[in-house]
Amino acid sequence: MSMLVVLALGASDANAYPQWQLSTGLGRCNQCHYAPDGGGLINSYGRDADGDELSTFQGNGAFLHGLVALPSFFAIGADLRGALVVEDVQDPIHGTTPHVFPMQADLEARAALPAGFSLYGTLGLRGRVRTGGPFVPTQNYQPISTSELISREHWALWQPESLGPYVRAGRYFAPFGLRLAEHITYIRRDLGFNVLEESYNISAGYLFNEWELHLTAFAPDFVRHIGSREKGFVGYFERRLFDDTVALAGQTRYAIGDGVEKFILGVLAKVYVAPIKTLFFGEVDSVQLMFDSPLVGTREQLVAAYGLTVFPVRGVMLTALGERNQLDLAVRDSAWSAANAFFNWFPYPHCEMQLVGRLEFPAGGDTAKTFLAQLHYFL
Amino acid sequence: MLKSLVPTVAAIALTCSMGCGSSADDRPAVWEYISPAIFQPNCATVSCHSPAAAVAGLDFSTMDHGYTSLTSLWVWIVDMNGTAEMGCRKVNGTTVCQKGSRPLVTPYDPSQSLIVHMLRAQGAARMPPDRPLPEADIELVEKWILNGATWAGRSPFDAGGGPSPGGEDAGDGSAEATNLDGGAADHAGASSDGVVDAPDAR
Repeated sequence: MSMLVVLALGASDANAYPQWQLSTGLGRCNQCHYAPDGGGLINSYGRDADGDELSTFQGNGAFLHGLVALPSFFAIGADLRGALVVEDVQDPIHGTTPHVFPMQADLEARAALPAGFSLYGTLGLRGRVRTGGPFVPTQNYQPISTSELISREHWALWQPESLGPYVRAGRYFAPFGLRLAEHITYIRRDLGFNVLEESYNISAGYLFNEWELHLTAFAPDFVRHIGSREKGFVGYFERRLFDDTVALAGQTRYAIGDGVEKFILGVLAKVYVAPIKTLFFGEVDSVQLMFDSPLVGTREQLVAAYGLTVFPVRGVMLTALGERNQLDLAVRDSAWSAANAFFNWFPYPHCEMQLVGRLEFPAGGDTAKTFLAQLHYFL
Repeated sequence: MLKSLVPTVAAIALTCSMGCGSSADDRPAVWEYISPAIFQPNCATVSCHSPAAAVAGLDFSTMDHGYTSLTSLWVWIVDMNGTAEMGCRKVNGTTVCQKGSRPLVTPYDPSQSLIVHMLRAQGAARMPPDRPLPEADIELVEKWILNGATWAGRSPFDAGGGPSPGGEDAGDGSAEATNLDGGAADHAGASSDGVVDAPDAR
């Protein structure tokens, strides 16, 4: 059962809820985050927003609640998550025993350097490693790391201004897709963005108020063998319209894996309707699977997510999400569908509670039911 | 080009959001498809059967490692009668030898293949443990087994020879104690009968 825990867990970088985009009146993710495409450690503007606008009871969103003032060129943070999960996959051996476990423990730091350069890194723990010792199946031996320490992200950035060009190099997820926090969604898990699958990248891009462009070349970690095993490139272009209430994006990803090359063309959209405090969003990706073997040839896959998030009162998000992953468009029953409900509450700055309900329907197979409750605190 | 692509993708999405395609499965039942399309994305996640974790010694991240994991994995098993000439060695005073484990597939017989029992959660722990596979994918695996579970000139029947004496060491101390005998592979990584848990060599 402990495997379930590891599988269900492993959070994304904290604070990276794409639902904040547009719904807060902000169009660009890097208005609150240090990363050009959002995610990870938040900047002083993001901390102020956390304290004043995003939490129900408001407070001080600064590092350590404002007890310690850091120099402006240096920022640190941490994310701690604990969770309870109950999962029913109709497993006669493991049943549905609830499990409580630590979900994330990461430290994050960012240092600004002269001339628009900066360094960013995280250090935390990963859930499962190969055990130490001399017993390894000979055929499956690879020189891999047995350390439980993991740096999900470490990168160097050149970005002279928050608007304009940037170049980034290091380990992180290439800008792609809706970037939902939940890695179990098909648009993350099945498109190369599952938990701990960050790749080594070189990105170049341009940010403007109305649009942004990110181009990334990526490769796997050949030393530790942790993360994506593919190599290729990613392109993402987003256009924002109507005073940052609508965002439309096109994206592509070409990845060379073992036995198959994957070429993705996708579109996504977000629309915020202020009168009903609701954000509508959707992503559809067409995946061309080009197998090395002529016996198989080329097949088509479709992965999609669509849903809405309502913000009924300050600090509360209610999200409904539908998903579809059809492994082969020519075979109707080679698919999963899923329905999710998320309740996120940010009562005070630095604090979050999340409840997740998920139903997953493999065509012709056994339904999987998941309930997850997590508490999240970040410095 | 983008102007034509966007409506095309949107049309496909609308059409297929409730399911499209045929009820007939024309996919080839070969490892060249099953590994990259089914086993790698579903089983080789970082914390499971990837090189980084290789839970139960199984690594499905490549066609080669995946095929080996299913058909011919060797494991270190306690054997007090083992000798160095047999490729055995002492670890913390205990003699261990590499021996072939029970393959997860039984060629030509899906009903006797442990991997099928796991995919269906029939008398074995569910695999993948967080999301059952669509029936069509399981049936494709069964069809491959029914056809002999071969790949690139290899067959599960090739596994009988076992490792050469003094098999390759895990040079950096990384390892996984594994025994698939006697039922489901213990996906929690603990040892089953006959296998000594590896001491931490770091």
